[in-house]
Amino acid sequence: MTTFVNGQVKTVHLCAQCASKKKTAVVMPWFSFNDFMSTFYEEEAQTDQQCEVCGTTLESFKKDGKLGCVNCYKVFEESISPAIKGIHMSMEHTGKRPGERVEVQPGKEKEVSEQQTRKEMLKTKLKEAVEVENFEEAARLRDEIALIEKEG
Amino acid sequence: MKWLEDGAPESDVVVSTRVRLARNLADVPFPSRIAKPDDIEKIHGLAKQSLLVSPEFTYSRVSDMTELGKRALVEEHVISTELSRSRIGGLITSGDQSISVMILEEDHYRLQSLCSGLALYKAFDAADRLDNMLAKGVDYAFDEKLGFLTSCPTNLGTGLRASLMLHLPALTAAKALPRITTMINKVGMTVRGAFGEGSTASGAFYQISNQVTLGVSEKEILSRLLSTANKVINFERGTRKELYKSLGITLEDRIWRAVGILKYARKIGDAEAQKLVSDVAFGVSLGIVPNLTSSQLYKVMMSTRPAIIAERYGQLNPADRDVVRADIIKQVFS
Repeated sequence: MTTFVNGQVKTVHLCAQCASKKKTAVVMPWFSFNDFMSTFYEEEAQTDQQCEVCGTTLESFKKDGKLGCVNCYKVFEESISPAIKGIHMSMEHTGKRPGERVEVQPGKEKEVSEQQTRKEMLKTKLKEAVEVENFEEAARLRDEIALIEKEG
Repeated sequence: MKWLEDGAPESDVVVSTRVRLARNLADVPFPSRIAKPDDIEKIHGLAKQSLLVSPEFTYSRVSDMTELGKRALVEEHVISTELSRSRIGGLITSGDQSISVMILEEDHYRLQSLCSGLALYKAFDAADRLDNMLAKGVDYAFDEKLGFLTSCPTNLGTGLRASLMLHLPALTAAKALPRITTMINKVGMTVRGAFGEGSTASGAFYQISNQVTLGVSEKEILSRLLSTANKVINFERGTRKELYKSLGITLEDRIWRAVGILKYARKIGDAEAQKLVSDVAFGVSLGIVPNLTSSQLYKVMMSTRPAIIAERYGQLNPADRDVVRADIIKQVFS
């Protein structure tokens, strides 16, 4: 649902039921976790789970989208996994570990952004080349993409 | 706003860059469930112990701040509204406020780094160093599979939220924002008005940021945001030229009128200033208005928000604030 408020675009992802309630609901700035969560829980009735460490219940989590402690992630694992997958599209952390250094190149933002844009353009061209069975061109494009990925 | 500098990269379109990392301790409940005074003191104490070794950082407690001081910090993007309302929260900042740690906001620690213009790597680099400084003294809540554990699962994994404040007057005028929003949402990012609070006009300033934090590395998050930003920047620049070509003197007239008001007004409101600064910055980027930079204009706009003026000049009355604002803005044109 995209709306204009004071000349600004606001996009909120809602299920049909929540959208109908929206007129009276509080609009969160960019993303309503509650509404998102409710799309997963509409038919689920098991709301009596509680974390023994901090006292958070599944019910309270569904209300404000917040877990109470590290242990909650274990207690509610089964219930929250679909939501996590829905938000993040993957359940595997691939980023840094505590204390690890991530080497980036300050000052190279422009080069990287232009290269990324070029890579995406080449990928579109590659798809088109494959579709029209121009395999010679496709091979050339594939090599060029591989080169950018290697440098990046 | 000391961190906003002149001549920053891509500053004709990108006002500023912000990088934020969400971190928690493993053995203390998250802020929404924290109850024991000892736990609260532990969170404050460990941050002070790890970070105050560097003389550039200062520490303060939210409960010791004045209402006005808190509101000014919110306007300066140093703290969130949520932290300003906290009874247990704290803040560690560098002298120029470009680096800060919000203590006991939604998570135990929210590490933040701000830069002028498009500087995602520079901002991330500073946040990453700060993160590792803190990691030496604390045991982070970290899961091999889910990464850094956060109060809200929307921040899981890297805990990294990178955002860019963009100035998009041409795309706004061309009514292209809905199309751009759809495009940006498709790649897992969001767009929203930069000055969304209240009913003030936006002056065509927007924030774009990543939404996905788990399953992607920090570098991937940054390069994807850079790529998306690059497209929007190029689109905005192209549209600016097209608009000038088709509107000609009508556009020049609108821009020079904005210059006229900002230069000669005796009092001016926050929303009107934002709108006019937006128009003039548009004119600067097209070479219509000489001897000015976009960064100068952004800086004056962002440092004349209501609470900032009230705090710095001791002017509490809105009408008096408008006079101070007009005086400050005028100096940019002299």
